[in-house]
Amino acid sequence: MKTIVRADFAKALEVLLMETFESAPLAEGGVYLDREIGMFSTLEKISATDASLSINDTSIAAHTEHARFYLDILNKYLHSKAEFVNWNNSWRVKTVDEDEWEDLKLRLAENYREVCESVEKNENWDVNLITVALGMITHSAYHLGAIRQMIKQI
Amino acid sequence: MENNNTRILREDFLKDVLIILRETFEGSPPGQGSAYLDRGIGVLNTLEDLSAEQVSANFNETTIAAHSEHLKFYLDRLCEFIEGREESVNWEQSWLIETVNPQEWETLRAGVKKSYENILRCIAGVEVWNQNNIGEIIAIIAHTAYHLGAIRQMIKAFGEED
Repeated sequence: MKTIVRADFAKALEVLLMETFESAPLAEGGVYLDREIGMFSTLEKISATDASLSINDTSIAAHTEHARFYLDILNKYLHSKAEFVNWNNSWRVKTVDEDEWEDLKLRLAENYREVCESVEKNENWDVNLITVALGMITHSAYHLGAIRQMIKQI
Repeated sequence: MENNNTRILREDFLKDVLIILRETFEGSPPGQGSAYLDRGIGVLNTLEDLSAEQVSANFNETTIAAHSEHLKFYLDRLCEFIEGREESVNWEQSWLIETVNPQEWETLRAGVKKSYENILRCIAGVEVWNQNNIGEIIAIIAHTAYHLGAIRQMIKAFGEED
């Protein structure tokens, strides 16, 4: 039966997670994003007021919380701890004040750090968990693309 | 002797890559859940509903046609990298298209679909999956998802301008 080296898979995940959230290393450039446009540097440039603006019937704060919520739940899947999820709860945040915006960004960073730790430590990448890992990256990329387009409308 | 925990089944990896890739382009299968997109939403059916006029409309200094050509160009080049390409790419060439007429839009949409199908062929041809080509195939999906997210916001913005 053909196999893949687990460390190769985990390292590829780590590189893409880092690029999606922290941006690619400046010297090396990105695999799929332009330099310095990862999630954290993108959100850092946005004020709470701008994150709360209604753009296309949604807001950057809403997309940020939704992306964070998804990351948190999928990380629980990696630890087989997830119960029934009401995904409607992921869209509850619409506007934020300055403190709430700082808190939301901090919780996103914390969830990201937990995901990186899970990816590094996980020893059992079965067919379900590989989907979870791929979903974390692609879902975050989708909302990063949406957020960066919304920023152009501010 | 190597511990089984240091290996992943290739068929598990490929099955999941194909599920996420298919969802990204074709949308999740009818009657089934989705992994990361709203049900039924994918690149191909998103583009199918748009006219040449809509995709050529200037929107914050870009167009949906431009994003479509860019993501197709990326698919083609990444497939080449997976197949062994070593020379660098002039990525500025991926942004050469800005507007399209109806015939050009038909051709571009067909090109995106063809490039997606070519990725499936490309995946089937890989003998050994290592860190590089695993990263490249995930990047193909992530890059497409990024631009799908952007395109769908642009479509929503058009709706607000009506």
